[in-house]
This record gives sequence, structure tokens and C-alpha cells, in this order.
Amino acid sequence: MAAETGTARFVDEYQRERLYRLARSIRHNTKAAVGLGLIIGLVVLAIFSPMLISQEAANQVDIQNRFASPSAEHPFGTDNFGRDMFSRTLLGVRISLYVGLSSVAIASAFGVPLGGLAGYAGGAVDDAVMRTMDVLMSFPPILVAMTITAVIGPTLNNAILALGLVYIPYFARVTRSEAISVSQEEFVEAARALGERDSYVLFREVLPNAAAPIIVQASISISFAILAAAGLSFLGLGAQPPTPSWGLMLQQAKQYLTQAPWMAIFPGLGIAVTVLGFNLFGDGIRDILDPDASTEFGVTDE
Amino acid sequence: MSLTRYAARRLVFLVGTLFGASVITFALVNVLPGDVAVMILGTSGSQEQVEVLRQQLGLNQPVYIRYIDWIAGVLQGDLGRSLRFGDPVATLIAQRFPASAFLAFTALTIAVIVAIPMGIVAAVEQNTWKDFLTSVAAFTGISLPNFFWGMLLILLIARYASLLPPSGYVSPTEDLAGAFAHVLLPAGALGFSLMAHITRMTRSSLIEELRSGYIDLARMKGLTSRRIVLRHALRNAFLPVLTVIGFQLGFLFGGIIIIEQLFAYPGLGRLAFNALLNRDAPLIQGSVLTIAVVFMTSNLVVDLLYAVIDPRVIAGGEG
Repeated sequence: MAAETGTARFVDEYQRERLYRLARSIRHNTKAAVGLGLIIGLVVLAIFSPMLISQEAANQVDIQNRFASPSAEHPFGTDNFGRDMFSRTLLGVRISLYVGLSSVAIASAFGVPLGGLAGYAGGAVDDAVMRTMDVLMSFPPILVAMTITAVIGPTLNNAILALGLVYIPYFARVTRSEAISVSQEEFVEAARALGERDSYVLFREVLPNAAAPIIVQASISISFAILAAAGLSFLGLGAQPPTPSWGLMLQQAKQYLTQAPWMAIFPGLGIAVTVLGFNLFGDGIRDILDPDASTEFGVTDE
Repeated sequence: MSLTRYAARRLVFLVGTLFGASVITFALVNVLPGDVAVMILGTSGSQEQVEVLRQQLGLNQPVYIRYIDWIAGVLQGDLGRSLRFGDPVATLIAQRFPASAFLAFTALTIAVIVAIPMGIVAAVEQNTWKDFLTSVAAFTGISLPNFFWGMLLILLIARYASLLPPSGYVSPTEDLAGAFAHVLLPAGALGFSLMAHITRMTRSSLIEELRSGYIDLARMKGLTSRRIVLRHALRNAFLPVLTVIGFQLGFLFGGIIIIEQLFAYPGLGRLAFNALLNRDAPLIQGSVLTIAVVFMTSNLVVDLLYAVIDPRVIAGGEG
């Protein structure tokens, strides 16, 4: 036991130091700082907007006032039902973040342990896990997500479930390659030499030290998931009316493009700002972690 | 390992992945909850009607028997018959395939033609306003869904400016000019994010190449900057660009489904989407599998191209 607390303390300190250094670097990296600023702003909006705007008010039909162009009363105009686009767009922040965060939570909950196991165990386990991931990756992600939601029923939560499933391999891949390199570190060897159980070494020492690239992957996957979910809702395979989801708003805007372009522009802007925030943050963190690699948007040239 | 052996290995690997993909495709439609017979008849069907239909469709057999039946047919080019249209699935797919191929190919071409020069300018004139503008354009490109770009193109170019038709398809073998007029808007929308990714990757990998020793050597030999960039650095910078194209193909093929829907473009994506809405199980399986096969084959082509350009990939063995 004494030995265990010894390694554990060392590992904890090592991790804390790394995270501290990462946090300090974010301030000096424009992309990461702007991205983080946007994300924080959106989270604040998501928390407080439902207190200021009620769901009922945002769904209030006012036929007299349909297709009203932006004005002081309706800063973003109104839609084909006369609903206030400003309220609906703001409430969309919450839905968008919910979709992005929960589908990535599902993907990482399965992908990270699987990839960690593959990288740490190696051999046949590695082959079995990674070949399965290859098969899952042999489909365009949105195609599988679409098929799943169409079969099990088009709802927002099913869309989240489907997207979570299709992003598992991306997390498994990143975690695996990181786990392989962390496993060769001396403190992991030390822990094994001291006779720690494999599950302890994997979950307490290997995975926590593989966290940084997983954060990058998560940030970029959130932006992919938000775009994909908007696509699913646009096709009628995600959120259903009258949910104020941006994808759904764009679907409705499609029929009235020339008549009321603001119906498309504001939800589009909402998507752009959210996705940009997570993309910039992920990209910035990656630059900090690996200043030399020529990497772009979740792809490395290795 | 020679290139041929590498290609052969990759091909064997592809066959294995394809087998897995066929299992997943079948499972998506047949193992997930939902009775196909009930879906076809709707709530109006009586218990007997459902039972008769189940019998006809062979739904009462164990799922692995049904998979073996299906895959045996697939291997002989028989994908079954569409429940909705009654036509063979293979025929329906063959009819729609050229339109989608034309769309995807045009999108890819537009993206490459626009993005590579943009990336070169951004790299050569690093940290100038041109570079900054390119970065902003690229980040905007990846931050909006392709269907948003599609709607914007429809609004600006088709509706306001009336330059191109907002929807439809003309076969390039019948009327080449008409075909391009119809494909440009959907292809532009589809290629937007790809363009952004290629631009960024061209920029960053070219910057890296321009810093390396052999470029200094070329400068000392007195080669012009233009020649150095175009003949030497770009060649090596192209590898990461190729990777990004390979990686983005999945998004390109996935994007086809939404874009074809938006532009009422009669391709494979629209066929697959309608099959999903109609619960047309054989057609869903057939079109999903076809898209996966095309996707995997394209990835293989990218990998082989990579190996041809950079023989170190083969020497590395794994991959």
C-alpha cells in the first residue's frame, strides 16, 4: 500500500503540473483563448437564456406578425408562424451544446477505455479492438447516424445516441496511440514493477496522462457533432417541431429563403459561432501540445 | 516491400473490412428494434396480413440465415428488390450512381482548384493580410454546415442573381453545359468545408517545407522563389494535403445525402434518404453498402497514391 500511494502521489503531481502549464499556455495562444472565450460565453447563454426567455414565449404563434423583418421589437425578425427568431435562436444555444456535449460524452465513455485497452494491452486485444473500429470507420459517419435514427425513431436523443456511437472509433484511435507512448514511460514501468494491477495502471496512470490529446479530440468532435446534428434535424431525423433547434429552423427557412432570409441567417450564425468556438479551442490546444506538427482540424499527417 | 505487395496487402485488408461493413449494414436494418412488415403495412394491416408479409419476406427465419441469404445474393450482384418500387435494388443504384459520382468529383475538383493556390499564397506571404483573410475564410468554411452554404448559394446565385438553376440534374453525356450549370451550386456547397481544410493544410505543410534544409540549398543554388515553391516544396507539402483529402472523403460522401436533398438532385444520396423514409429495407441495405464500398475504395486509392509519392510508407510496413 505504501508503494501505491508513493507512485500515486508522484503521478498526481506530474499531472497537476502538466495541466497547470496547459492552462497557462492557453492565455498566450490566440486561437485557444478566443475559442475558450466563445465557449464560456455560450455556456453562460445556455444557462441564463431559459430564465429570460420562456419556452412558451419562443413557441408563441402570432400569424399577424409572420415574416416580420428584423426590428427593435424582433431583432432577428419572425418566422413563418410569427415566432420571435431572437428568442428561438438564443434557446438554440442550449440545445446545440446539449447535443455536442452529450454525444461526445457517449463517444468518449466507450472510445477512451477501448482505445486505452488496445494500446496498453497490445497484441490480439489491440488487433480485435482496432479492426472493429476500422469497420465502423468504413462508413461516412453521418450515413450511419442517419440510418440508426431513421430505424429507431427520429428524436433528438436518438440522434445524440447515434452520433455518440459513430464517433467512438475516433476516440479509440487517439487514445490508443497516446496510450502506447505513455505505456513506455518510466512511471508506468515502475508501477508495473511494483505489482500494481493492470486495471489500476491503465485507468489511474496511463489514461490520465493521455488526457490532453483526448481533450483536443473532444473539442473538435463537439463541433463535428453539432454540425452533424444540425444536418440530421434539417433532414427531419433529429429534433422535432417546435423544438428551437438550429437545424430545424434552417429546414423551415428553406421554403421561405427569398421571403425571409433572416430565418436562415441567424440560426446559421448560431451554428457558426458555436462550431468556431470548439474548433478554435481544439486547434489552439493542439498547437500548444505539439508546436511542430503540421496538423489541421483533427487530422495529423502521420 | 514492393508497391505491388503493399497494394495486395491493402486489398486483402479491404476485403475483411468489407465483410465487417456488410454485417453492420445488415444489422442496422435488421437487428435494431422495428418490424419491417409492420412498417410496410402501417397500422392498418391486420395480424394475418402482417404474418403473410413476414412469411413472404422471410422475416420468420433466424437473422443469421437472412444475412447469409442476403450476402450470397450481394456477391452475385443481386441486392434484392426495392419494397417501394419493385425494381431490383442494383438497377436503381446503377441508375443514380453516375449523378452522384459527377457531383462528388466536381466538388472535389472545385475544392482542390480553389484551395491549393489559396494555401500557397497564405504560406508564401505568411502573416500578411492575405494570410489572415485566408485563415478567416477557412475557419468560416468549416464552421457552417454544407446545407447552410447550399441555401446561401441558392439564395444569392439562383434566386437573386438568376445565374444558375437552384435544383435538378442534367446528364453530362447529354448536355455538358447544362450538366455543369446544374452541378455547380450543389458541388460548391459540398466542397466548401473540404476547400477550407485543404487550404489550411496546404498552408501549414508548405510553411514547414519552406523551412527545411533542402530549400536553403535550392536558394543557394540560385533557383527562383517561384520555382522553389512550385517544383520542390509543393511536391513534398502535397502528402499531408492528400491525407486531409482522404480524411474528408467521408464527410464528402456523407454530405451528398443532405446536399442532394436540398438541391433535389437525383443521386444515390437522395435514393438512400428516401429509402430510409420509406423503410425500404433492401434499398437501405443496398445503398448504404454501396456508399461504404465507394468510400473504402476511395480511401484505398488515396493510400496507394500516398505510397507512390512517398515510398517510406511502404517501408514502414504497417498501415
